Amino acid sequence: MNISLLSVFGYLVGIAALVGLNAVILVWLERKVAGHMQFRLGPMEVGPHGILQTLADGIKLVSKQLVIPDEADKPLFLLAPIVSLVPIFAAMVPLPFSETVQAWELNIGLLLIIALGLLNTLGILLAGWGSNNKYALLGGARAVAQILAYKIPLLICVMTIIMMTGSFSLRDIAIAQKDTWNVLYQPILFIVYIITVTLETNRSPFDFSEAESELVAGFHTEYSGMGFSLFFLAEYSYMFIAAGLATVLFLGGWHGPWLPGVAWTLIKIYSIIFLMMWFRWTFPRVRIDQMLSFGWKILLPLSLINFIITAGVLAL
Amino acid sequence: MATTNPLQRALDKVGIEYQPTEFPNSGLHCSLVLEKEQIQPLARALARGGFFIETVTAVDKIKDKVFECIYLFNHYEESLRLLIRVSLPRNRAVQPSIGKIFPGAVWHERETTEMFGIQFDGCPDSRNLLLPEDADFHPLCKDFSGVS
Amino acid sequence: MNRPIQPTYTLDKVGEENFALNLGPQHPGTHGVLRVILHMDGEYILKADPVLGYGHRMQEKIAENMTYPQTLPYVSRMDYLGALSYNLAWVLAVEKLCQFEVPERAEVIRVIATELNRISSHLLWWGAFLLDLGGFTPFLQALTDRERILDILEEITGSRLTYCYFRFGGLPSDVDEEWLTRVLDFIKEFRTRLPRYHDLVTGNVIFHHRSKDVGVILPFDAAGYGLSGPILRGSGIDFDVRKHEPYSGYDRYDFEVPVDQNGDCLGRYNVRMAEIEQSLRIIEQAIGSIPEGPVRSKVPKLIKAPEGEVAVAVETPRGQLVIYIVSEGGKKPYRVKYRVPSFANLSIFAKMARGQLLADALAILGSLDMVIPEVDR
Repeated sequence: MNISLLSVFGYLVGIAALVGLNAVILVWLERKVAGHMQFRLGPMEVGPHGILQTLADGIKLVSKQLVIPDEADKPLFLLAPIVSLVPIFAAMVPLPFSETVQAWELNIGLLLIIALGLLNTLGILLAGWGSNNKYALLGGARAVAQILAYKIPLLICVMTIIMMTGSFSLRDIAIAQKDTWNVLYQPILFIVYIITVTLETNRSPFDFSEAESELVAGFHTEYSGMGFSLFFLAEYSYMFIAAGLATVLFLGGWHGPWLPGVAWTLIKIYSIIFLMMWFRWTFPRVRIDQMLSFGWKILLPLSLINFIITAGVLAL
Repeated sequence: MATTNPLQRALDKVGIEYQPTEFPNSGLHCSLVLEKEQIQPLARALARGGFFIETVTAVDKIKDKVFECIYLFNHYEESLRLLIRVSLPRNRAVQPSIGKIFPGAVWHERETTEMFGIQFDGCPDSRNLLLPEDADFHPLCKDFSGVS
Repeated sequence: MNRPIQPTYTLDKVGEENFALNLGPQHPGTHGVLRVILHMDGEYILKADPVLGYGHRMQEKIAENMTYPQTLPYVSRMDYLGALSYNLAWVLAVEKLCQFEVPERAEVIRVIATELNRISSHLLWWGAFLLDLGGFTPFLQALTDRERILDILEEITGSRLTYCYFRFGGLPSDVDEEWLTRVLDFIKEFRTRLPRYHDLVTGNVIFHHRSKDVGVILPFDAAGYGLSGPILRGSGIDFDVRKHEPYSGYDRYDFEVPVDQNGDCLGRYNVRMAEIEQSLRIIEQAIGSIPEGPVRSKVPKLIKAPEGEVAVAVETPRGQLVIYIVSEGGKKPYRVKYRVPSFANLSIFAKMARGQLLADALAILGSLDMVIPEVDR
């Protein structure tokens, strides 16, 4: 018991380091990907090929003044980025990086990650309300409408995979994909999952809650410096978790020839993150009512039909 | 009747004589001097004839002590620029508005009101457009020398 | 004369379920300093009230105090994206007033420069429109091509944005053969890149959903508001000043005026993209037919205009610009009126925004292609 507690503690430290390192890498990667997709080079000044850009950005953000608007709800305003960020550490616990590298094996690991994903939206709503700013309020309200429409197809997606594997545990799901990856059995489900996960993390083309050209900066209009950077840390970490879940559920987890399991997991996770970045820099933004009707009228029936067909095929 | 253009037809409807001007020299096809009562019926005839409003503005003829309210209309199909001039006394310049006939004229009339002080009677909206909302000076008048 | 000061922009009487949102003077989605007070019910707009004047510089009063050549730099600062059209309008107006002749070679070069300016303005509009809709990449791609046009124009005019190139009676200096060859090379290269823009945006499903049937302007409203330019042509009315009252030799060139019947944002988009292609055609024809000769006719050093009035209309990238000059003889005009296209185009926004979603209202504002300093003068 002592050893396993120690190992969990060690893993938590490792997770904290991973979250930080992931943010550093993703901020740089996003700007480089954006640059190259737009015929320019991205950051090149700080460090070779701009590798130390995130460090420079971090120093800049930390040194900014934390401005709290006068009539804002101060406890909510300060709590919102924390509510967005803290559940990430708990959500990374059941994520398996390889057969042996996993913080804690929970037999309902999948459900935990999805439930904790909701807290991101709660943070956005708190920020929107607590800022005492109509633009932020609109951003927060949009985020809530978004999550209501998308959690259900996401849950049905995940239930289909659980039905195929027979267990909620992420480790079991990954082990079951030793021979063939789930994406080959369920290609449509994979597409639905990628769409819902882009929505959940508020990434373009679904970034209405922070829509820059309509709501000046959406829910984080009034945040500056560290508050803003905490929201973005949360967003990049949720991208990592969502991509991690996609890897485990559909892409076979850590299975792959001659590289160690952890390497394959990371390669798959970062490929999906690259895909999400590709979406961001290509598509314009969808309108909120179009997205809601897309969710309720197309994604939900599609995932339900897929579920029923899978159940039928498995019963035979 | 066969060779009339839309401008002649519109002017005929309100009984005004068509006075053509030299287009290559001045850029105007017709230049009229009217009384203020003639403006609204003419505007209705022009709106029905397919004319669009180019601008409503004024010129301050301080030596003659009048404001000349200027209307410019044009047509989408044929090139027919019509200029209408209405003289208003400088100390009490009130002019019937064409804002209900040409909705776009409302903004032009708002600008003329704040720049010259000409009141447009019946304009749906007569707040200041470009100047601050509490400005009570009229900058484009010739005797305006600056806000102290 | 004093009018009672009316409380103009109060936000009361909004009702308990509604709120008033200030699309403030500083907003990434309005093109310039435009303030619109929106009364909203959730995401739907109940009433939109534009507040102008943040960039008001009294250009018309300034023009009364300056001589005709001194006003030349001021005119291009009104619409900085289509500055050559404004420059052309002022120059044509004074030439008409004072009856100056313009040599044919100068007319042709004026057309080439103005059409290049039109292409660069439309490219920037394309990027900014997509930026309003949330797509970040097209903006940077458009700017890459626009830089090439700006470099070409900088060679002859000396400026990148607010050009003051035309003079009364022609141009200040001639262009050489190399410049014309460079323009032709640019056109050839740009024609290969234009399909890329269409690939990225025009066929995109999300873009279609955001712009189709959004912000429909009926042709019936157009005459009442005095609309002009691509907004009017997007609603099906075929009105282009270059064909309506040709100036500077435009009747010599063979080009079409693209018209779209739908009247929505997508229609206006299609019209502007087609206009880019037509401008390329005009430039090619102009370069092919450029005559030899002087580029400036003899014009007195001190310009004293005769008494009279003159009105000149020009097609800017945004619509029809009319400059109306009243002169009582002398070096300075008595009254100058700039009738700018964005003024009329913005006046229809209040009507169009009613009942729309906020996201749609901003898409409409983007498709109207306004430059606010031109509205405020």
